[in-house]
Amino acid sequence: MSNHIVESLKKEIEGFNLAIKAEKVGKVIEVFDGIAKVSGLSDIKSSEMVTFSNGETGVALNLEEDTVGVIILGDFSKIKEGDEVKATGKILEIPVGDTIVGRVVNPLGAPIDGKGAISAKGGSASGGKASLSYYPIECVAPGVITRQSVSEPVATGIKVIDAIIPIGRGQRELIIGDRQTGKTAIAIDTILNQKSQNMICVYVSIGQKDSKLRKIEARLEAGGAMAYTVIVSAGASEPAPLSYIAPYAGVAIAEYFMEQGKDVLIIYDDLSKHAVAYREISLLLRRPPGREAFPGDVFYLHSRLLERACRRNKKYGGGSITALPIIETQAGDISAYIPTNVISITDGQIFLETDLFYKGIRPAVNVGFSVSRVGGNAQIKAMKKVAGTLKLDLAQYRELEAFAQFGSDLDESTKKQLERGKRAVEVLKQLQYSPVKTEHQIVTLHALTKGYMDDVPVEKIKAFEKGLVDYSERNAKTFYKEIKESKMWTDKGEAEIKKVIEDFKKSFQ
Amino acid sequence: MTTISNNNNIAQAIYLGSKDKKGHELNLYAKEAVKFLNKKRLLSKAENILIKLKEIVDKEEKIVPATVASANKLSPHAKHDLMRILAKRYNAKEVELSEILDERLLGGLKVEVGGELIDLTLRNRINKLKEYLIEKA
Repeated sequence: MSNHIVESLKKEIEGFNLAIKAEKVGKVIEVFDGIAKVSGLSDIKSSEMVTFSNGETGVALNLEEDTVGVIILGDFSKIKEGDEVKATGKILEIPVGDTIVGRVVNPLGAPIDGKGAISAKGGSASGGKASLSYYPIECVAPGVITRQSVSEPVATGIKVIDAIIPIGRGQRELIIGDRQTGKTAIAIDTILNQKSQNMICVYVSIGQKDSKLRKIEARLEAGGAMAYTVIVSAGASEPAPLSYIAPYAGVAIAEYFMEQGKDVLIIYDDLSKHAVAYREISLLLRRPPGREAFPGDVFYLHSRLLERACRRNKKYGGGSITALPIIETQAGDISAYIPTNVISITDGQIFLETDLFYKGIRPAVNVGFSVSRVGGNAQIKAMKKVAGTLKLDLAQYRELEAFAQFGSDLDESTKKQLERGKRAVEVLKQLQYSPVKTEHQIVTLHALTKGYMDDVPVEKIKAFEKGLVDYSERNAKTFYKEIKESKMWTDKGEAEIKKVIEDFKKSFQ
Repeated sequence: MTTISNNNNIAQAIYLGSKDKKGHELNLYAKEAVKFLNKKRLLSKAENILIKLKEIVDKEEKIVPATVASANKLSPHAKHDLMRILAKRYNAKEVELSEILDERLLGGLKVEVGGELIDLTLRNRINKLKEYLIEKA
């Protein structure tokens, strides 16, 4: 046995060949709060990776006349004045491979889930021949020529989103709202619903509590979603430089899968904390502060990140990256600096409201403030048809609701609209972790918009919906088949679903 | 009003002013330069200015300062060879070699010239082998 170990070690050592090369080195002048000032390193590039003598990695951000400002990606407490710093000549990159799926990694691509090292496919079994690819965390977003407009939907399984604020593959849709309004819940539900939707998910946790991340991981594991999900985590206890690079590391992983022609969904939870981390770094590097003490390039910080979400055309290999950035507002103020920036960068937003949340309307989506600028093109025909008037109905309902509070004398059509609105709100309510299939959403919304639910009491709407979905699945086979195959129903399908809904209504008590 | 804050520029100016001067003339010039620094309240930066001045003089006169660290004292022959090789590599007229003894390097030598490091020590080889074997595993 020991002979075998010695032999294999000998074999490995034989393959070791150390090339002699001149390295660029500098010396640490000062270290503070995750930042190091380094002298020397005269030929270093901006964003170049450096290594400290204790093995930690850093990135050169500020190139000054005599010194270089380096952010330390890791434990800076062991770095001291006079330590040697080596330039690597490489822009910061992270190792990626197919085996990263199902893992929790830090922004440098190192596993933090206790499941061992991430080896390339085959790993040591393939004689170590296969190796992980290295992707730069900063790269230029795909150009205009390589892109294609958004035309395929991302099924979130959340009725209000799929119907009113549809998201397409390659879109950037912001999830914005106060704390505790269900922002992460929407993101997690969307990941859970991607099972067998041919989608790889990347969840980037920035400055979140480790307990929250653990909960999310356990939830995804329980829902079988870790089979197609990668989690990149820069926890609240980690230094700001790691939070700063986390979203870029996440999108680098997403790009690896997009290069293979796959569709990827990436969630940045959340970019407010990312901006705060960048503000910390910038202030420590003595860059001039601007509005709310954020540096001048905070817009570029997010625009260059979100621009990397795209849908590539077939000629350039296909694949897409759909981005769902999350922004936390303070007291519903969407006109603060970072929210307005990210709203202007993205292709729409899902606005969550505390008031709605406490009224029991969950997901607490404010339909009036939410919009999807490109998702409409991605919606399937059948959904477009049933959801066409829903947004208008809801908007009118909200307006009438305010009026209705002042007087009881309402005309028939107003009353009808109010009743329809109440039922629409009820239908759009949804429990967490219970995504609804697209065809089921279509049946429910069809029944709602065609007025089949108008005489069902509001408190029985949920039971009606559940019963209708079960009943129709058994009895409206043609309708379901048509939607699955051609994304739209024919007259035959319509007649069938009409009959099924009427039959069910008769039996519903 | 323009401010003088760039050490490099000051050092460059002092060097250019002193370039063709010798003996007494050079002493006078040095005094004037110190007076100027005092007037402009730059004496606190004198140390950095001198470092820059040395760098400029070395560059102009093709003098290359080099630091060599080794576990054992270098023999005169090895030192001579090293200086010859460095002079050739950095296209220098003269190599100013300063020696450091460091037992932790185990063997071999480490040469540092102007922010460039050539590490030929045993310790570095062992570290690199360690990284290689970990990566392989």
